[in-house]
Amino acid sequence: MRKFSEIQKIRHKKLREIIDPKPHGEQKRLADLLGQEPNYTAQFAGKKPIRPISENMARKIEEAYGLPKFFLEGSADDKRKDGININRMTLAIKYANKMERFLKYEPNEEQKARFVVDFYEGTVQKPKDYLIPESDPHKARMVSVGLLARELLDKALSEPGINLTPEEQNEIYASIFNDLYENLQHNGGSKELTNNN
Amino acid sequence: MVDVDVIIQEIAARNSFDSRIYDLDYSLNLNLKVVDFSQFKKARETAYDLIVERCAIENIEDEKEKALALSVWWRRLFICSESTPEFFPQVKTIKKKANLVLVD
Repeated sequence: MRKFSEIQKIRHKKLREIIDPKPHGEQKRLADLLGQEPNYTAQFAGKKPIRPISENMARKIEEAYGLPKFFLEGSADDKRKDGININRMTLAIKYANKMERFLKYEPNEEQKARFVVDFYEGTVQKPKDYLIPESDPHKARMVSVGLLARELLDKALSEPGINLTPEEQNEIYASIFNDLYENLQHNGGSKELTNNN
Repeated sequence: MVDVDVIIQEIAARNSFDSRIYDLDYSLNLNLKVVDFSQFKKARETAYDLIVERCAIENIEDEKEKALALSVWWRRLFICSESTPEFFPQVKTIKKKANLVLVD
């Protein structure tokens, strides 16, 4: 039996959560929605999948069912004890980077961190809304964590002998974010510091 | 480019008083307050840990693992720099210090 990565297992599980409650024939309907042959979709939508759900296919399935982006990666609430959903965060970072390319203004570091947080939370706004300061305290804290995570990643990347691909950098960013967020949760932000520099 | 060697040397230099400083009587003779003494002792131990950790990180071959370890190391240095600047160098290249969350 084929072994799947953690993210693949999550996608299969989330897809089954969509299909299972629906009447018999949902896999056939899914195939129609995707414009694919039922034999093909059955390979990843069946109860015992033999094919992984690629990132592109995951986005197509979400679109076909009218679901929010990253639904198949699990929700922001699907976090392990006090941490974040790293798979979802990695994708949020990737999509936030893409978003930056289509803006009519040069985002500052805080705005970039807000893109990441909003993709992660599934609350992406219009580009002009990011010109207004974040008002949600929870998100503002996550943005602070994102800023520090970015700072630490930049420090690590600036060291000799570190040549990571953009995908690897996104993974590391997500891991650093998770570590910081876990610490923040455990310490209640007791050492939160606002620097004036 | 970060000149880590310079930072390491500075950490070592700022914490390299005569080892007799560990002798409380000797420290008191130097008119060091007990609180200063304990702070110095703690800082010195932390500085030693940072340097040892750094040496260990240099031996990590996996780049992703090394990058992650480096991020933790830099975070520790940030915290030390902010909380006890007299013992640890300020990291000059920090650009995004606003709203910096330091959690330990």
